[in-house]
Amino acid sequence: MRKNVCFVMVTVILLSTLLTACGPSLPEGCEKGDVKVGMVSDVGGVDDASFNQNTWDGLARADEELNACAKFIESQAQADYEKNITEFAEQDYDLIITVGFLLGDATAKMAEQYPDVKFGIVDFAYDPPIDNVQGIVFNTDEAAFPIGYLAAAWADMQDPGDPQVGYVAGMDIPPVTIFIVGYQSGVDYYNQQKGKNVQVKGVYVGDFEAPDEGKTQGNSLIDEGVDVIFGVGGKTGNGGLTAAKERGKWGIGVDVDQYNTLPNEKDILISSCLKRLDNAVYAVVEATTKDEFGGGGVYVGTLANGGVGMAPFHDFEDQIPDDIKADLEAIQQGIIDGTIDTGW
Amino acid sequence: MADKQAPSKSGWGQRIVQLPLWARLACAAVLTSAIVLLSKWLILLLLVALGLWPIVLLIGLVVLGLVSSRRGGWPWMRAWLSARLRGLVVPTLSVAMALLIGGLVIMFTDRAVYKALGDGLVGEALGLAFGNLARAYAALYQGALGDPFRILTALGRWLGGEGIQRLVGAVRGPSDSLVQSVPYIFAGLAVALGFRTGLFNIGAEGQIGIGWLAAVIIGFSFTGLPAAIHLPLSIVVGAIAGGLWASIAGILKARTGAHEVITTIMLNYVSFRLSDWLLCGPLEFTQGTCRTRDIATSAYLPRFLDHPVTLHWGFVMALLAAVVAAWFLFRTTWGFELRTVGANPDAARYGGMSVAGNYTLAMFLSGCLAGLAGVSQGLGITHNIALGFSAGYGFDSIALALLGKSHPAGVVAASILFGVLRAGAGRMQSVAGIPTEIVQIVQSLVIVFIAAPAIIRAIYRLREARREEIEVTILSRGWGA
Repeated sequence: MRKNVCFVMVTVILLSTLLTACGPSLPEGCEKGDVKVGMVSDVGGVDDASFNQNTWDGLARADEELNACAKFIESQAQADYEKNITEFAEQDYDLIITVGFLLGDATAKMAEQYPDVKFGIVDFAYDPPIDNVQGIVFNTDEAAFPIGYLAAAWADMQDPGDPQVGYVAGMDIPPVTIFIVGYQSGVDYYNQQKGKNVQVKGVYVGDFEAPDEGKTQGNSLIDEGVDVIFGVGGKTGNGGLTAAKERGKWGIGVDVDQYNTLPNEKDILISSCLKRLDNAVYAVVEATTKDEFGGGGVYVGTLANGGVGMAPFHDFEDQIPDDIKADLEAIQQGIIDGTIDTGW
Repeated sequence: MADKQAPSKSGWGQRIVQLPLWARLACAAVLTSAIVLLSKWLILLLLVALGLWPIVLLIGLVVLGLVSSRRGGWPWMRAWLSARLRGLVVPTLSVAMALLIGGLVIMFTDRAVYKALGDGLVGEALGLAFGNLARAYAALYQGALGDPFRILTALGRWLGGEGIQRLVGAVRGPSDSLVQSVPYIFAGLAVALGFRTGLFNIGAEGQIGIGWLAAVIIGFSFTGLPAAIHLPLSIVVGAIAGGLWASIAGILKARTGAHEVITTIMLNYVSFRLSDWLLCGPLEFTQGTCRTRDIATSAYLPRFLDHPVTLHWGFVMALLAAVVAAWFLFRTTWGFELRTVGANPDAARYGGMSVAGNYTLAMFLSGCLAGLAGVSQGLGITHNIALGFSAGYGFDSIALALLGKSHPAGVVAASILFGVLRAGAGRMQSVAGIPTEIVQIVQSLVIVFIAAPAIIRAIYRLREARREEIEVTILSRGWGA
């Protein structure tokens, strides 16, 4: 009896597979006329609580609010990039968004192979530009500058005798160093404006997935007197924030509002330096639905267009003095106007 | 484990063997060149056959029927089929059961289904669940083996005079499956060879990386070399690099008795960190990308057809490697020594075989095979090496070797199965929204059911296995011995 039931179930599955394997089908949830958007993520998956997930959030919002239909494929390894992009292209997707500079080569190759498909790539831009690819980059220094100012002000408030701020960074690559340069310049600006001498110390761990090493480095920084740690390096940066939490210091998050994604450290997070990947890809999808795709160009996320920004202060809302808040507003306006130079 | 008797030569076979050596070599050369020149069409035929497997199966049955009508009719056919297919019953049922359970997971991990159940709409819930299942497995099938109707129409159009591009696009599925299976075949052979000698080579992942690195370095270091020199050079260097890396563990075991499980795992970490440093440091081509320069085109493993079919000569290499491995293990004295050492090192020593020497040789060959997995990926697919190259082939291959009972033919079959599952996963995710983890669940369940065939036998009330079928794979020796 058991045997027969199993045989029957197996046959049912096989038959239903074969029956539905025939014929083309629109992806689930897509309607005719929708702009089909495919996201190919890097190794790490769409639930990495920062980079890929943030990008997917933007596409999911575009799926709901615009006449777009978004799907994703998570790459398991470097050799899968081209294969995954091909999968979307062969399914006649209109726009393919690849997430991360590691997909730069694969995207360029596939863009050449499929000149009628539009591509967007996050954290990369081509020089010379490719006609059907729009690069998506972020002037994160514009947000890191006021973050640095805020960190310096906070350290000064908490430890006026020897104020120091620090950072625990992932790899020494341009998408990371841009944060650090802005951060440093922000601290320098604070010193300049207030006549103080807040120091900046930090370290590049060389890996985005080493929380233990990040924590160790965070602890050494705190031993040297650092009061605020800017965690800027995926899981490694999160390790630095853990160290700050355990030693009673303070931290600043990166990419997304980590107050929401790091429940253990949220009560020490003064703010986060936001890279609005979701807003950026939403803008690209919106432009595509209106036939205004910026192929061959670059979408630059700035403070002005909401591509980068500062997260709310949350628990520290009342503890930050009003004059600092006013200063931060002025700084951000100055950066938008171009009167303040972030040093990048 | 007795070697089969040499088959009696008849007609053609006898005539070829009786020719002088030069004539035999000439025949071989002509045959090889013919195959190479026709390779594009042979591969296309293979891919179409894979995609249209029901038709191929039907044709096979018809041929079998014709043959059997001369040899004794239906009883003969039934006996022949049952003899050949007996060994396939448990694996097939294992795969089916794994798909069934995976299907249950797909059906009941959808919030919409529970919502409908919660609202009391049982019929709608079941409809949603089965809809998910059908869509998911249909996508998996199409991603792995293509859409049969699309292949047929493309075939018809091509025969009717249209260009070949449409047909090539239609067989992307089978091509992806075979491409994905190539590193599995190499790595599975590597681990299987180790198992046959009683060695547990967990270091395949690290050896793959070393082989990949070495082949790519040779690939971009020389420009202007003809492909006939550059390509074999890169392949050989990659293989030997992997072999040497594994020999470290082999020599340590031979000289000091250090258990290869520990040494190979540690060597994995050394390999990973070494490649991290090299890729983000001295070998980095563009600042910030942690990737080497692309290799010269003379070092590419040629692809048979155009995009989007990425099948490359590495596939042929992999099949050849399996044939050579089978021949080596079962038809040479070296292979016999390795197997004896694996079966019983003390008896082997008593018989005059050098156990230490065989351990080293086995680890070297195993490392070479694993290195070839990296070589095939580096020279055939990515044409460079970048951070994030590791895809877990080395670890999956341990399961593969077990699945294939450490026999090269079994390893090839299991690798193609895994390749099929991996190839379909991307489409399953993009069309049906099913996470790729489902494929990993199915893969793991396949391993569980095949490694413990008693489960399948109990469920399906199959006869008890004959004694010869119970082969225990000798895993590791030497814990404290």
